[in-house]
Amino acid sequence: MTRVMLLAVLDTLLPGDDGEPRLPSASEAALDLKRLERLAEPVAAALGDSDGFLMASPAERVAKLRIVEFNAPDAFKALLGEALATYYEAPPVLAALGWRVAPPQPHGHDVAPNDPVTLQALDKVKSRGQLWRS
Amino acid sequence: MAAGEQIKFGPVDVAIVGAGLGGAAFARRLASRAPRLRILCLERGDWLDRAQVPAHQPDWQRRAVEAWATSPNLRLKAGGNAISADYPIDDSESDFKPLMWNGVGGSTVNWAAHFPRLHPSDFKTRTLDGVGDDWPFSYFDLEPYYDLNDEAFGVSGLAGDPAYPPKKSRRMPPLPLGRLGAKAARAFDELGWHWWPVDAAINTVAEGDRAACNHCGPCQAGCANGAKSSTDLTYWPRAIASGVDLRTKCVAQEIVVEGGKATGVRYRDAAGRDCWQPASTVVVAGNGIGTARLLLASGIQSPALGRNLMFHPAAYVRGMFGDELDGPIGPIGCALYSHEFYETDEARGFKRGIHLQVTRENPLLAQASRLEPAWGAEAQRLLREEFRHSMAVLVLTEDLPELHNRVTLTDTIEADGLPGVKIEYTLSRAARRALDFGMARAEEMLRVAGAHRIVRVPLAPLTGWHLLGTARMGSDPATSVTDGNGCCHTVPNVIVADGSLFPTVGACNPGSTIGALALKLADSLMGASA
Repeated sequence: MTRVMLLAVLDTLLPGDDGEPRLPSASEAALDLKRLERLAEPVAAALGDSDGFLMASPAERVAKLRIVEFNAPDAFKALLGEALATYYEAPPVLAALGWRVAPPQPHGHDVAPNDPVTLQALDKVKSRGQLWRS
Repeated sequence: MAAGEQIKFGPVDVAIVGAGLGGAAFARRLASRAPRLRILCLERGDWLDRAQVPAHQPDWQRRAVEAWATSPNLRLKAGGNAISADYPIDDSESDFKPLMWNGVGGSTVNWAAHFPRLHPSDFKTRTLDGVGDDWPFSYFDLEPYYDLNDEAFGVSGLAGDPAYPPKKSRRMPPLPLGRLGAKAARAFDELGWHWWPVDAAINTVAEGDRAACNHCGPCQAGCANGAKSSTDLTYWPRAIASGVDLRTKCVAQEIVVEGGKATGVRYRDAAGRDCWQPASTVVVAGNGIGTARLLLASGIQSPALGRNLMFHPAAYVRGMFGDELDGPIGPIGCALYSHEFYETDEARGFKRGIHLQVTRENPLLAQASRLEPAWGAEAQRLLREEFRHSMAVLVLTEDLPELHNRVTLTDTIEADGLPGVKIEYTLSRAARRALDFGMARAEEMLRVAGAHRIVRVPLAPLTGWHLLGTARMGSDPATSVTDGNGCCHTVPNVIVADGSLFPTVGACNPGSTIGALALKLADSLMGASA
């Protein structure tokens, strides 16, 4: 599968959106395509006419990939899984979804401390007395 | 030494197979009560190197579903994990997929560390409700060991929950509920339902050389800073200091039985050499699959061995909220639970009960991978709506023992030298009814909390953490594998010390009970009590 074709497939899977902030499409997210290239081959074979796919409208591309998803589910699933893993770790995608690009450690995350008012509601639970059986 | 010659070690008093929760607790307790005993533990995997866990890496989300996945089958599919010595499990005929860790610490390495106890009623389901079987002892017999186990793990939480008999003060304050938990708490309060912050085996304050939790998130790919308790951090350092010999990367191949008595363990060491370890007593703690596999492979006879496999059947309900929540951060097993429906009420149409747990959310990739449709503009619209705006409620119910749910050996010899293993498990109709009831209650709570859209996941296959019941305790050798002290009926110097022993499982996480049980069994071996 050519790079142009691979990006066209990926953009159909992960088109991005015009939300705030804008979510980039797969081709805009500067993905590392190395792992995807191998997995794309059987999908390309199932798609058949690559020129036809490239010339198709976005809606037609979706329809063509739906057929591949139905006819070659294992190959399609493998490509989709890898596409999701690559895309949703890409810094521009994380940033667009308001998520930190740096890994969870060493800084961790801040969670608001317990609110005493919320915990005071446990008095009502306690006031019900024993709830267990023996 | 000639090639292929067996390496023979000097005898020990007790050889333990498996350095997970049960094996670690047993080893530590026995070593502290009987310091002169020669105690050995054989562990098939290695020690966790915390610098390697995914949370330090930019591609942590991917690692957490590949080589550091909770499923051994997924880890093997990704090429394996050098620390967890996994073996394939044929789960093609099981509604739940087994999850575990096969290294020092066992599944406490990648558990959520949610640390509830069973209820007193869970120990007498036959007497109270006419289903399952009673345990050979009561909650109150186990209670002192629960306390000892809590002390070893360092529990964060709040005492005073009326769903349980009084518990000692928790050593550390509870983990923060966060925006997500506080919202759920208000909804439970409005409904007048029981709720309580979770007991967690997670440090909320630094203690010794272990840090406090910094809410990084991916607990189930190994804790990066050691805030989450696992037995490589709790029991093992003390057990080793007490003289226990822990040999890693040693795979038990067979418990050798002669004349109705175990004489030792044959194992394969890290170099692949065949080794013989004589032992007066053999303790097996390899979880409900690994223990049954080794006992079956060793020819230990019992009609109940491998049968009655129990999980905790699980479903999820997710609610979507307009305001921003903090789901994807913090320990996954938090924030709170409800036992409003834990005890039997036959008006519900089933016996026994459910555990509702408001959990933290999955990371972005996991959330993106569970959508329906799975790709295209609609999937990305849904992700926008859900990510940091969802609340998940886990519904667990009690599984009851059924003979057809089982662990068996296959005809294949696996790479670890043991026969292959298969599990067969079908969700019962009673469990289905209970899960449906629980999902309806979860949805009720989420609606009260303000959710504008609800997604139900009626069965969550990748929740098979709790591998229980396959070497159950009891008094009748026809229906149980061991007696109340964990000793096999047919080979009394083989002791089982893990969740395989559970005759029934309650409706909540078993870790706390497995640890307490192993401590009790160690005392039983010594003829002592807590």
